[in-house]
Amino acid sequence: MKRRGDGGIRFVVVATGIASVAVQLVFVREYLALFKGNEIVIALIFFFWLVSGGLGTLAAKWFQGGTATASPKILAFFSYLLAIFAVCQVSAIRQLRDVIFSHGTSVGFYATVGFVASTILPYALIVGFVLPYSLMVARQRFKDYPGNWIYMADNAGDVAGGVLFSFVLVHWLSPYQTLLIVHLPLMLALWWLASASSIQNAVACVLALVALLTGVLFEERLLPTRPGQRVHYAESRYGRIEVFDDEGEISIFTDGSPSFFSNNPALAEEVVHFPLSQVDQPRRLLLISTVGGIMEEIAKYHPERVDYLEIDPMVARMQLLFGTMASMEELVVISQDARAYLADTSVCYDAILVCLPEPETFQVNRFYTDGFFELAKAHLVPGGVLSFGMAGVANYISESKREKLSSLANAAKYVFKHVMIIPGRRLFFMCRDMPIRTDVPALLEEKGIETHYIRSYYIGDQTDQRIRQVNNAVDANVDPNRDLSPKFMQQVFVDWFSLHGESPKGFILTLTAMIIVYLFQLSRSQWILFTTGCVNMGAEMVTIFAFQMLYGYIYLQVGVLVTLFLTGLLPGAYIGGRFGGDRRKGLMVMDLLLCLMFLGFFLILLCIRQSVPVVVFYGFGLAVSFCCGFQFPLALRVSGDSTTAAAHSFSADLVGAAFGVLLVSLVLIPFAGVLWATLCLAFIKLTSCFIAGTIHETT
Amino acid sequence: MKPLSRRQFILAAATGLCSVSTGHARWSIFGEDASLKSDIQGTIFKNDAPASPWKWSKIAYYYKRMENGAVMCTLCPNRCRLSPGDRSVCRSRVNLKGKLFTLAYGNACSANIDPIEKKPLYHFMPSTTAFSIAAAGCNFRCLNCQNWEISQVRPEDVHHLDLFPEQVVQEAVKNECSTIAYTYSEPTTFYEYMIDTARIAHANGLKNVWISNGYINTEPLLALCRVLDGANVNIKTISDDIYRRLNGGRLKPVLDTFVTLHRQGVYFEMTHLVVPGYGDSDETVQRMCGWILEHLGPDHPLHFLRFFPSYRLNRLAPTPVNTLFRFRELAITEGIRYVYLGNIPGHEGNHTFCHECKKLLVERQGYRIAVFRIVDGRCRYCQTPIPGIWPLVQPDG
Repeated sequence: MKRRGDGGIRFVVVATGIASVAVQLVFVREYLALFKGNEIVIALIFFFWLVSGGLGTLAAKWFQGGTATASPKILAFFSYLLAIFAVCQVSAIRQLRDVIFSHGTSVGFYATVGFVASTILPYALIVGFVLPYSLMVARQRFKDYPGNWIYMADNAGDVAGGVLFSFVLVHWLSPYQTLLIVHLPLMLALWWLASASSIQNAVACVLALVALLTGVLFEERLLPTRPGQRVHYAESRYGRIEVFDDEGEISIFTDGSPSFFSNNPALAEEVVHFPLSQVDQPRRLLLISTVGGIMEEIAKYHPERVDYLEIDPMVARMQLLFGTMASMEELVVISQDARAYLADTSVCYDAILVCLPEPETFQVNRFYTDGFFELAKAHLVPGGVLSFGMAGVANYISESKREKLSSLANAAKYVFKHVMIIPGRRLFFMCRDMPIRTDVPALLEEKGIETHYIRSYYIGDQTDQRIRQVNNAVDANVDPNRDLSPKFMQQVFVDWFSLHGESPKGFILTLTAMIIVYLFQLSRSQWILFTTGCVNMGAEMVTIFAFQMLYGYIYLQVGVLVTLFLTGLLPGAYIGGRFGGDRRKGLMVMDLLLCLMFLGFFLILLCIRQSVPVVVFYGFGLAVSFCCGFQFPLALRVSGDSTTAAAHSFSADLVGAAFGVLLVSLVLIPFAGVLWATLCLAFIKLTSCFIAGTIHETT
Repeated sequence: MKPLSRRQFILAAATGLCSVSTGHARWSIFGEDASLKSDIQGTIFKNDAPASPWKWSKIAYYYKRMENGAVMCTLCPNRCRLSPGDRSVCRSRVNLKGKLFTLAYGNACSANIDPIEKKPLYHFMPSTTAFSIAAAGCNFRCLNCQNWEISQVRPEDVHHLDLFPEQVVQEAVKNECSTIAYTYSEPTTFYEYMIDTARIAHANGLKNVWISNGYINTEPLLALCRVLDGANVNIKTISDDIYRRLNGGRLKPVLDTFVTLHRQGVYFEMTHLVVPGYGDSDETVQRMCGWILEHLGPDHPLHFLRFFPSYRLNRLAPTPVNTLFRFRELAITEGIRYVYLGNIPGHEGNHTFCHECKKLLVERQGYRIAVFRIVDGRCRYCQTPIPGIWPLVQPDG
């Protein structure tokens, strides 16, 4: 292989991009498997990744200021460190969780912030550092080496890394195997990097290989321990699945949460008999997820067919294999997103039982909205029943619970004539167009169905007084939980803070102060890049959210969407780099275009919704990222394209993206909804357009 | 000094970095979280008291005046020292101008009619109902609290009823409840409300039961014992370390409560929630039973409850039922005469067997009594006295 004219720098940057995106996704999966998997945590991970990257980028500028000479040897050394740090940090994330926090506890916002920030820092910092440092090394050889080439090489690597991980590695490899595979191209590129060989780097290379191989060899031993014996461990494309056997009792953990137990008869009885007792003869049933022991209870009704929808085929397989769900002849397992399934099928059911836990993420919240209830009703026979649940109330209905149950009840009442809440282990919502009876034991007796728990405990636990209390708690003035305006999720986020006695105010104020200080440091062109990073990331989150809401979570298509948001940057940067016109006008036109695209997307969501073709989402992703990519070289040239300006520009883009993640995920979508979030992004780009109009080029 | 291995050093350094940033080291960059401390005991709330007492306030029955207007609450072992304007660990007591006030008097945030078996009390007036009340507050910080929405908040922050002691008793009588239960949150924190209600209840022929974590000082407990007919007190564990990590309390005061109740002749049962990974070993159960037998004797019923994920402890699987079966057998073998299993419907661990002749005396189907073979407090078969407060007439099935 011949070394390229730049001494192989671009290979290194591309390979770093491949490795860093894959490592980022491995980190995300690790955090989700160990912490609460809500959007706040995901946003925090991206935020700290991008902020650390931004700091690393700035560090490169200071580094240059100190020594003046950039060396390929140092670049190679830091790049080898990436491989070592990737393994060490994943191991640290796994091992330190139970060292720092009490085993089995959920962790509050600030502790999560601290843990994520600490454990993500080294890798992200170095990734951020090597990008501008690569440019410095390249400019040692060629004084006028364009900064845009590094930006494009990095984007190409990011796209390749994202595609490789999402469509190949996640299906076949474990986290440590992934780390090994994605760092091999980087090590190969470093091998070919001109003037990079030294004894020090040879040692670093060997150490990196040893670290990567050690991770692979001790993969399972590095997992956190739990009571009982781990009898199965797998990584599906949706997350981590662990099966534990504790004194003969099977528990299936998905992403660290106990999801299915072999022995939970009280819950199984409530989930099944509260709704099915209402229906004369339930023949066709649809289960959206399950709880342990559910099939034994369902079998008492002798249904003709039971369709069981579980998005992750591996979870369904584990349930059947380890007996948390009994197999029966009438059972049909369908591995598909339930909304996507219901949108396609023409089958109608006597009962649809949503057995999911209370929504903690937007993903799950999609099954608790007016849109889903409409979809479900369209697939119920006359007299059919839909049931779903949220976390139960022990002896008191808090204001937060009242808001939550009201938003669900109001959404359901919008679709069904009768909605009744029965308090049990969860709060069960029974929805149908015919009256609902609460004397469940009597209904079961009429049907000749035997139960252990309901027969014995219902009369003491579900007293008329408690049923009345919970149904009277519904406040008709609370906004219903809607697809585009997820009222329930607002409360879920508020609850997370109150569960740990915390408030996000401190974090928001600190962040706002830091952002303001940061923005004052930026030149106008960097301000444009800041907003570009912000809206590109924000648009990606808005699009994914809207897509899932309309079409369901379809792994491949969501993966394509994420890839398109990265892919558009590359041709955009390439064409932007060759743009010979007025750069100020170019920036303004792109800002206006972005603004118009957001307005168009807003109108499409507002007016057409369900009939939006998938290709519109793809086109939107590609177009937004193209415009963002186009702006980068223009803004860079406007600010002088010096190494210092490049470092500042890379940094502004990263910090903007970090800010975009938090703004959209934590504030705009939960508290204002998707439509307002889209409008807000349009507004951000409008301000950027005005600022672009005031630019006076320095070159 | 023992040399540190490289592995230990790296782990310690990484832990140190994370500890500092997550608050473990107590001088956090990012804040504090109860789930990450080795001792989660609550702290007082400085300057959190309201400006003046409200309708549901009363001067506390147990406190000491200190210098500079400060007071020390002597109700529970937390012994909160409060300067004027401060609020106690339990959130329901405040120092207003040098006097300690309770803010939880007559403001029940929860009032339900429950089967007495739900408390759980299996040897106390079976098949009757208890008018159950709670006010906000708790002197513990249990990570698995089921009632955290009322126990970990201030009385001012919850919706509440206007239910002063006389009205509580009236409601109980109106709803044909034979007992008033002080329960759900931690009744010790609404002590004045509880004891005043209990006195009126006694005067009206009603019984009183205290469902508690047992974290109370001896003097107020002795006063309470005079109006108590029964109690169910939690023995969370026999390990002081786990009390500190899981509950934010200490073991010894709880054990002292059991001894006091026993000596005062108050009928009580004990509840032990088996949390996986937190002292759920045979050795711990044997140690716990050993202490019970030595200090309380074999007659106080012991309930093993199954844990389900709740509040902050929501990333653990439920207790395996086989563990509970084994612990029940172990406790019986050790010598405890009445050992029950909670949250496991249909198991024989819900029933009462005579400890002498081993015959089935009470068969419970949930809250329903299917079989009752205790006559005048004695086994119908062998006439052995069965400890408890039994009805004079056969309970309804």
